[in-house]
Amino acid sequence: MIIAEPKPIKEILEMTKDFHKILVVGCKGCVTVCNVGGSKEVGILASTLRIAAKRDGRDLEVGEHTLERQCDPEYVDELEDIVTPYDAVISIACGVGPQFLSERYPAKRIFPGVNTKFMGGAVEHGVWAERCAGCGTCVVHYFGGLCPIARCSKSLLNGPCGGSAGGKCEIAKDVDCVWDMIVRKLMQEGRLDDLLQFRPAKDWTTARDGGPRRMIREELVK
Amino acid sequence: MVIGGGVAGIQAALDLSAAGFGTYLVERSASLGGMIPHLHRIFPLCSCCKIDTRISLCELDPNIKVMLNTSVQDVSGKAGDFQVALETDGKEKKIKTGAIILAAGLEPFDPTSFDTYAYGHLSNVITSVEFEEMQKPTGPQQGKVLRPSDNKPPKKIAWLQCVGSRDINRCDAPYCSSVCCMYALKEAVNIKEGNGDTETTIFFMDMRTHGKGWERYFNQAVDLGVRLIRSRVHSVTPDADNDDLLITYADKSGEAKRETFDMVVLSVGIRPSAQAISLAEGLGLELNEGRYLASKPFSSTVTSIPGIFACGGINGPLDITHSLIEASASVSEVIDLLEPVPFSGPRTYPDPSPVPADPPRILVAYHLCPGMDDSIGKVIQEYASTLPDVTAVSGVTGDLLGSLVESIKSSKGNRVVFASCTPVTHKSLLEDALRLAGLNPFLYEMVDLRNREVTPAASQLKDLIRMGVARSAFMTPPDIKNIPVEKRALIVGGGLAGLESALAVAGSGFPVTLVEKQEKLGGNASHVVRTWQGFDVSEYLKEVISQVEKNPGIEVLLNTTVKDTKGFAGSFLTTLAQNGKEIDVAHGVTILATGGKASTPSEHAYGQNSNIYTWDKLGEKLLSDPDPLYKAKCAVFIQCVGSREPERPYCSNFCCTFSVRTAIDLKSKNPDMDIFILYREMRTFGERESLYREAREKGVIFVRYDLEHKPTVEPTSKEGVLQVIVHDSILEKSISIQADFVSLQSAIIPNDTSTIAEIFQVELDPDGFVAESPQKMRPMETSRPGVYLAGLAHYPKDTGESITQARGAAARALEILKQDTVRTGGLVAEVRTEKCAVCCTCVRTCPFHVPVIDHDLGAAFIDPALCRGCGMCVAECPGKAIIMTSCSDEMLNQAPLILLEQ
Amino acid sequence: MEKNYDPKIVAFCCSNCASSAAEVAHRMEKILPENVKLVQVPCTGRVEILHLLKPFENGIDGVYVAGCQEDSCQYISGIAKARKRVEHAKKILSELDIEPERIDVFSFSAARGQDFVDMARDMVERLKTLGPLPKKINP
Repeated sequence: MIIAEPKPIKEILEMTKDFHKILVVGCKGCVTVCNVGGSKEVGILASTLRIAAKRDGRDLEVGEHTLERQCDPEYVDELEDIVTPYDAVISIACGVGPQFLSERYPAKRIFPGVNTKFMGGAVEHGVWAERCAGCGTCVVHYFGGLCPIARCSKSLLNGPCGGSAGGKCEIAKDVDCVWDMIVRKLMQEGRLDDLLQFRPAKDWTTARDGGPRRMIREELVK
Repeated sequence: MVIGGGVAGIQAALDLSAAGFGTYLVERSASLGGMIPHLHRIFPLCSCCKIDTRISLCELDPNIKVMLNTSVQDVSGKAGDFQVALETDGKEKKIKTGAIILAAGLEPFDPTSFDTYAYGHLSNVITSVEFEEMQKPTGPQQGKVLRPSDNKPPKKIAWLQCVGSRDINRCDAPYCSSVCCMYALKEAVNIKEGNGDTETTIFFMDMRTHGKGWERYFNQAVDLGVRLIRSRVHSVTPDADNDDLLITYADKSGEAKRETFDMVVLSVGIRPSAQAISLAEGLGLELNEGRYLASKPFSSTVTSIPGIFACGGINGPLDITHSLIEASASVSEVIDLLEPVPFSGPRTYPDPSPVPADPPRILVAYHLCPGMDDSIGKVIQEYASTLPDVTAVSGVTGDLLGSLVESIKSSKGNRVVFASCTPVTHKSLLEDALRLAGLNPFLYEMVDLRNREVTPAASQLKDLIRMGVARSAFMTPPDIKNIPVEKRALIVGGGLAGLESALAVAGSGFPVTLVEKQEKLGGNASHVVRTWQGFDVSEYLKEVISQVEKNPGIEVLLNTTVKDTKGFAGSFLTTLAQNGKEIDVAHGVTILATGGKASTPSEHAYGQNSNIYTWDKLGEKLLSDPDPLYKAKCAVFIQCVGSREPERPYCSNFCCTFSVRTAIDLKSKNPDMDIFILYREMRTFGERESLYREAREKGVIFVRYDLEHKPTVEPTSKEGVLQVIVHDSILEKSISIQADFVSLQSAIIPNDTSTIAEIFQVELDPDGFVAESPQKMRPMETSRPGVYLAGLAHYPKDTGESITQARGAAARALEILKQDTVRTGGLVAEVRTEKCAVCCTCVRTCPFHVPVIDHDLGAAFIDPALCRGCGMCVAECPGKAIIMTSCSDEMLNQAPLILLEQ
Repeated sequence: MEKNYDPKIVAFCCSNCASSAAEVAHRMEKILPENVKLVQVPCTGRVEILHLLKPFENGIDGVYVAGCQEDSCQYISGIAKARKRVEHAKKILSELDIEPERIDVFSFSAARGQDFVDMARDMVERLKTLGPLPKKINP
């Protein structure tokens, strides 16, 4: 799922300091599951804003709403009447949310309340790690089921660099070297020779490098 | 009739009532509780407060008649038909009863007779009981320990162990009191927790931490800095200049040392109370050497008089855990003997009435404790009537249950707010009242009048009432179902514990399925020669197996293992596997008696020589072919092989006793045999101490070694002779012993507990044994309701204790089997499936592993029968899909506001 | 610091150890300060971050959670969860330049029942020192 983290409160307060009627909108999708943008977090952010206003002796009205998702126009449409009394909206969905909301509600100032980080999964309760960089041509099967594009700091495709030591990446002690993991896994499976197979250079045009992407499913389009 | 209202008596009374017996609980003092209210922070889990709940359960139970200030004058008659003459406040009364459980308890030793300790002369020498009274927050100094002489906190305290125990010289207590080492450690740790600078020193002979979790506690105490000196102190003398105390002792090397202490605590032993002994003698009951009651072989709660049973401190120097076990075991003996006759028939509850649950019609009821200002009632009356949704306000006194039901019915209320001083104790009362009035038993809210300035003028009182009313208005009646109970017990394990509990359950009239994974019954008992008292186990085991096999109510399945178990207390469905076939069993309770075994040592040359045995193999040899052992010239027993080490920091409980018992038996057969027992601490606890003395009298040589200098065993050039080298800690030299055979008392490890934990969803303790219920004071219950525990799976224990615990577990299990239905639902969490994102957070959060993902439903499912109602999943759910009607977000967010209103 | 200020405090108490501690305090005839309002919950694990923050929106000056000790929580991990959430709520307050000491979590046992009322009194003193929620001078 898409993993995001909350923006620092001070930043959010700074962004919205000129507004007195703010709507906080959450999303029941990925950001609910990673505990950053669901209805609970909408409540906490709204409460935080109100406390800050009380602290400053400022007038502030904060509304709360959580949409099923912010990446489908039908759900975004649901806000039409709800958003009317407010001047600003803080979306705590992933980066897609504020953009869809901005497009649909151009009269309102839309602010992002979270920083969207990566696509990943839960490694333990409360800890999410990056697994996918969205490169557009998935070849994890070349690497024993691990992705060096997302998990190698340099996205190397030919093997580890000289900075791999003790199974860790040189950038930080708690970052595993995925190449170390790939080699060990293939050794365990007796398929180390797979790495010696010649493969053509990666086509990066399918990744972000090729420009903004769009996916069209012909069989679904009207 | 239960004579004695201490912790054992209370447990026995509650178990008897659950089994359907009308019970008299007779207590000679003015209150129930016995020793417990005098103790501070008992081990393992702080649970002194639990006694209060049990006391009020006794008081509220219609089948228990509590008689305080009552003493027994005389008992006549016989089993099934006793006449007991009682005296209450000067008035006499005669009561008929079918069976008597004597739980008359213990008293601490009075060290006044020990003139060398100057107790009673030197003010800063106190007993451990007095020390704990000082530590209690309700004590004389509100929890502050102060020196009697100058009221200053002591900085350096010494504990003297074995005062009034293990002593035939100056008093008549040959036994070990079994609890003092633990309580001294606990007192020292507690005072250090309050003030880390306090120096604590314990003078001891053997550190006896042989119970479940005790060794770990010992290690923690040492890590905290509690100092231990192995030396029995002779005298305590006053310091010439001040009120300090001087102790002279001999250290390990024999050198005399002198040290001054601010305070000396005498760890007094326990003994049956004087009244208990005179009562026992008056009844004609047999006493043993330590003046405890003599019991039947293999039945520690059966006395010399049929129909009179005993449990707790009068039976031996027992700790709380064992007193509770014996209490339940004595009840299983009563069940064997008598048909239950309750005082009052089972309550019949009407079907839920047509009074709708919405809109809320709140009855505010209050109960004022004696001594509270009556005008409080007026304030509640006036104020509550002004609150929204309140239909009626009434004070209840006297027959609380009756007046509550009356008030509910007459007000046509559908919610009750109950204000009193002791909410927890009134919970079951309220639920009963609501049920009797035909309402959902969970539609109540309690207002706690404790710690309050409940004078009429104070606004706190109004705040509380207002909050209680608002909270009850928020409640919606939770769903409850009554599920029929499967009247069958599944017992896992065909060793002695499993066999005994099977007989006890079948004896109460319920069928049993006994599952044993091996091809025959008997377990470890097959290689035990004698109990510590010298009773022959093999004959007894044969008899028990034969009784089980003959019993038509017990279905024995050999070569059978448990694959899976589903359900909840009262209604389990377990799948068994026997020779590839699957068998399904529906049952209401499970008793885990899966046992343990001797571990295989990796040291002392085990396996390299046929004359090196582990204790179980030695037992087998003694039973099958003992002559070569009897003819040995020299035998060595090595204790603590694999126990009490960093990888296994627990004590295997009975190995010291085993070695001493076996040594005595060998010496009787061959007085010329040299027998050495190499030990670290000699843990012949309780009345087993007499064996230690007997062994020494017979010439068994005890050599103490320590963990840093383990003995070594090597074969020698002489055929069949082994060389054992041990470093004697007193001589500080190594001794070499030429042994004909060596017995290694290897650690007892539980069987398959990780599989068991997974299948039965029970918690394990840090040492891998099945953990006791976190509800505390329940040594035969696991963390899962409906699953009980007995034998080695709980913790290493000897044959007699396994049998007692098995019978106790059977009695406890009756609590469920006796009911026709169990109620599920109520104060539980519920998943709103449409909001569930199936993220697994609740599955990960619940400490009891209750939520499961139902793939057909596409959501998490929380079984209302299993949910404990803590609310953690409700808080953790990222999508707010889980609700708890009794503690909703709405209520928690609004409660502070309501309290603030004027 | 205002002188005649009576802090308003909300305490979420569990129904087990905290309740037993209350019982002991009651027997010692200790009275809870009037400005501390108790809200009972089955387990402190039920209390969420929002429940800790909401009171500050509504004129309450301090909040604390009272539960069991970590090794004797009847629901095993409730108090541990409560601690984590209190830490997080404190962080949020710090980011708002509000004193994190306004929120706290305490463990009780019946063995130290006197603490139950003493802790409440300590919180009152603490909040008297901190004063009511600060009003920032607008830049």
